[in-house]
Order: sequence, then C-alpha cells, then structure tokens
Amino acid sequence: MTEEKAPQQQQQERQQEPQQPPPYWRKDLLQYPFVKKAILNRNLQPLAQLINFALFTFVIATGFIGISLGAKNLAVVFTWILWSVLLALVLTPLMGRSWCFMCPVVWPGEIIQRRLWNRFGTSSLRNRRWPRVLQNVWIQDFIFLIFASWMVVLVTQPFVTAVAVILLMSVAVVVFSLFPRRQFCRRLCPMGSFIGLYSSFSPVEVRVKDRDTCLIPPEKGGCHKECYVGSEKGYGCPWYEFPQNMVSDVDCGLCTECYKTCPLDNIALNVRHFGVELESEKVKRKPDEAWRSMILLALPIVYTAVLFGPWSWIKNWGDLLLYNSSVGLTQHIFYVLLVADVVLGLVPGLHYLASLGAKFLAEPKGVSARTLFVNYAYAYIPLGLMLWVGFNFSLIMMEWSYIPVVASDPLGAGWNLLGTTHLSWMPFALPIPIAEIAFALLGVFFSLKVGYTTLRRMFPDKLQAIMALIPFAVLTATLAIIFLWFYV
Amino acid sequence: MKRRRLLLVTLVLGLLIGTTSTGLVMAQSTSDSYVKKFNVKAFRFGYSPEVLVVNQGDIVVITVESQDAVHGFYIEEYEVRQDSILPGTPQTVSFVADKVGMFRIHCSTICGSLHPFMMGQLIVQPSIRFIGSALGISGLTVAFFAYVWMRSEPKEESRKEEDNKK
Repeated sequence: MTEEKAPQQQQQERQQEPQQPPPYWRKDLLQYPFVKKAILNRNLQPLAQLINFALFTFVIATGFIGISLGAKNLAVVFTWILWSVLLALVLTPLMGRSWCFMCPVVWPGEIIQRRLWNRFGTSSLRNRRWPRVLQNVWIQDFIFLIFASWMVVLVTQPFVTAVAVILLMSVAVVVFSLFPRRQFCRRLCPMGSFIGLYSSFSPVEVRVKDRDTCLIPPEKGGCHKECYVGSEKGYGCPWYEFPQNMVSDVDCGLCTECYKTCPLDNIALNVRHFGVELESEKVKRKPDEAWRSMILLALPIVYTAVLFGPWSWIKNWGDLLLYNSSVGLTQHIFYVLLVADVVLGLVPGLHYLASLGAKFLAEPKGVSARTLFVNYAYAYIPLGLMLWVGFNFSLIMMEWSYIPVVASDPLGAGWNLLGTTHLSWMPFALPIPIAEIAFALLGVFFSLKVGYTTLRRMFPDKLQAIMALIPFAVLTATLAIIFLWFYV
Repeated sequence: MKRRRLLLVTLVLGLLIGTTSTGLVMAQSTSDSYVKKFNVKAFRFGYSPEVLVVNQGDIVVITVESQDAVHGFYIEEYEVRQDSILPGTPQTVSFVADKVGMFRIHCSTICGSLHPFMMGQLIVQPSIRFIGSALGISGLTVAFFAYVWMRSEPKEESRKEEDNKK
C-alpha cells in the first residue's frame, strides 16, 4: 500500500514528521500566493525579455544613428549609467542572477534553439558537446577582462556600445544554435561572470524544500527528475543545475523552470542573510572562480582610479578611439598592460603573498599556500561587491542628470520630447563620502567574517586561524583604504 | 604558541601605531602659505595641475585657461562654478577652503566623448575624513580579531555537525 501512495500524500506525511531546523535562517517566498503565481507564469520571462530586447534594440539603433557624443547619446547613458548601475547597485546584490531571468542578449538565441531548430529535425550541428577543456570559467573571465580593458571606450563611444551588444547577441545565437541549453551564459557571457560570482553573496537562493522528497524513487511516488530533464510543463534546467544537489547559486539563472516542472512542488525561493552561502563548507572552492574573485576585486579600484581619478593621461591612454593625436596605439597598449598588471598581477600577487604569510604565521600541516590562495579568495567576494556598489553609487550620483536629458532627446538630434533636454548637469556629490565609507566598512566586515569561517574550517586550532587571518585582513583593509582615497 | 601570541600582539600594535602615525603625517604635511594661487590649464580631458593641494582656511584663487575647446570648472561642495571657458579667455574663481577633504573638480561644459570623466582634484588638508575612515577600517579589522579571539566556540563535534548541516 505504501508503495502506491501518491507523491502529494507522501509529502503530507513527511511534513507531519518532526523536521530538523535549517542550518541558517531562510524564508520561502513562495508562501506568498502572488509570488508563486508570478513564478509559475509561463509568460513572465518572455515578456520581460521582450521588453528588454526592445530597449536594447533601441540602444543599438541610437548607438549607430545618434550623436557621437556619449554624454548626449542614449546608448551610452542608458547602458552605462542606468543599466549597469541598476545591475550592480540593486539587482545583483539584492536579487542575485535576476538579470539573467530577463536578459535580452540570449533571447534570440534561445528562441532559435527551442523553437526554430526543432522544425528542421535532427542535425549533427545541434546539441554538440561543450569542449571539456572549456568546462570552467577561465574563458568567461578572459572575455570579461577584454571588455574591462576597453571600458573607457565602451562607456564613452555610443557606436562601440552598440557593436558590443550586437557582438554578444550574435555569439549567443551561434552558441545557442550549436550547443544545448545555456552554455553561452555559463561559459562565455561576461556579465554572467560578474552576476554569477556576486549572486553567491545575495540574500536569494533556489533550493529544494526537502531533499528527502527528491530521493523518493519514482516507483514509490517520487519524481523522474523533471527539474533536470524537463517535462511537458517546462524545460530541463537550462543551466545544468540539479536542484536536489544545489548548494550554490553561482550557476542558477533564476529562470524558474524547475518550479514549473517539479511535480512535487518541492522547490523553494528562499530569502536568507547576506553571505551565508560563502560560509558554507559544501560549496566547492575552485581555482577559476578564485581568480574571478580576484579580478573582480581589483577592477572597481582600477575603474575608480581611471574614471574618477584626477589623472587625465590614463583616461586618454584608455581611449583608443580618441581623436587626440598625441595618444596612439602604443599608449593604449601600455594602458591595457597596466590594467592587466594590476588585475592579474598586483592584486593576486599580494593575495599570494598574504597566503604565504598566513602559512608562515599559522604553521599549518598539510595546507599549502595554493590551497589558502584558492579558498580565501572567496572571502573577497563581499568586499569586491561593495566596491562595485560604491563605484556605481558614485557614478549615478554624479551623472544622473544625463538620464532625463537623453530621455528627452535620445539621438542628440535637438528634440525636446519631455522638456528636459536642456537640463544642466546637476551632480549630487554630498552623500558620496559617507556612503562610500559605509560600503567599504560593510565589505571589510563581511569579508573578514567569511574569511575567518573559511580559515577556521581549514585549521583545527583557533589560534592558527586567527594568525592565518592577519595577512589577509591587512590586505583587505588596505584595498578598502586605497579605494576610499578616491572618494573621501 | 607563545611566540605566535607575541607576534599577534606585535602585529596588532604595529597596525594601530602604523595607521595612526600615517594619518598624523598626512595631516601635517602641509605648507604654510595663506593665499594659494593656481593657474590651471583645462584641456581634453583633464586639468593641469591634476591635483590642487591647499590647507583648511586658505584663500584659494584659481585661474582657469582652456587650451583646446570650451570647458567648465566646477567644485560642487564649494559651489564654485565657471561654465563656458573659451580658449584664450581665462576665468578666475576664488573661495575659502573651509571644508577639509578631497573634492572633485569637474568640467561643467560638455566638451567631448570623455567629458563626464574630465576631473581634477582639490585636496584640502588635513583630510580628517580619510584619516578617520582609514583608522575606522583598521579599527574594525582589529576589533574583528579581538571578537574572534574572545568568542567562545562550540565544541569540535557540535561544530562539525553544524558544518555538515550547512
């Protein structure tokens, strides 16, 4: 009889059994009917993607046909002042990969993959296996770094922004056509590099409600792993995540397919405290992600120095397309090398020195400096995110007044649609220093907290963990102070 | 272990003394002139000199001359603004540097692609905010060490159980 029980009945019985308290505080948002209704709605994601696709199509158009002056062109102002700030200041810190849910870059590719290709039957070109050597995030980090080193051009030249969006969409179409699911998002997308890493700090997670429910065999009323393989109600996880075993949100695109496919209603959308995932022992620490953490820690400091610093030469050197004849390719190459030196050499080098220092101070047995380097790099994620938040906060406070100007005259053609075209530049700089100090303090605090938990797990002795923390803490504080130098 | 404790104490003291003394040195490394005059050249996309350093209370007189296009000169916190500075027509602004800290100088007239990032710096010493925030971060770091040092931990077995749950 027991074997014949329906899954719902089994689940009800399980709910009546005493359950162990969760390891950290969490609350399932699906208990609110309107949230659940929205998550289960099949039209919500395509609608959000379509709206964003229309917006970015307009960005591309204005990038090509609008005025070439970035501060007066919608392509630059919308993308690099409004969108990037929204992404780094709100969406990623508070809602993890929520942008991936509504990303328009992959929309054409996904349509082709899911709808168009099926009409042409099977082809040897489709569903190719992603190369084993690329089954990591090294290439994603590399692409992010290329975009980063061209940031001065991107944020000032409208047509470069338009070309970048087209390039991303085109590569996405090709990858979606050749490979199954969302390999582009997991392995190539430069935005995904940023969003994925920092979603591990965000207070939102996708988890199964009860793992035991997932383990019930199908013949006893369990599921057929529809969350991974798909069903008539939805697609198998496009991100290759298996909710039953999920311990991290780095590679969960919040696409909500698993909520639709799970026949046992066993997927939760939890809110949790900031950073708890980074303290979890079950999250595997990997070298490629560790390097990503280092790269993304260094970049907001580099961007701040280049864009908000007083040194005009570095701004000019960073802009390859600048008409200033005194700046040529050689200076630009020096600029790229300088950025690469700081991002790939100086900051990781200091972290490696800190790892050596930690090894010297703690005298651990069986823990190498390399292990310390990889494991502790995850502790910089909160600081890195807070520095990005700080950089973007300063950006929006200084440059917000360009938004109503381009909204009124998107092409810089002399229109005055909203009556705000001639609004003068009005920065709001007064709260910046205090806010930056608060962001830096928060970043340092959370980084030390994650770092100590990490070290405490690696060393049996508390004193060893404290000693090992010293060099890392000095580096953490130093980077935060360097960042603050530009703002306070 | 005794050696490690000694090292820890030394490092903590060193950190405190180091940050405090650095702060004091930074605060006192100023010159004595009362009226500070600057001739600033504005060009795409920066100012020369890039950083203007004055002391709190100085009278600051800045003459801005454009070298290529129409530029502006704006320091929000001091409400100093001079728009449309044409090449060959220098403009002068003056104010009393009564607020300490680092203040951005912006170009307030759109002058080209990198205009939003055409910036210079006015540093009014002593920069209490920077010293304070640097000391604050150092203090937070030290306080964190003190906290984890003094915090009592669950026994090894229960800690492992807790980790396994996570």
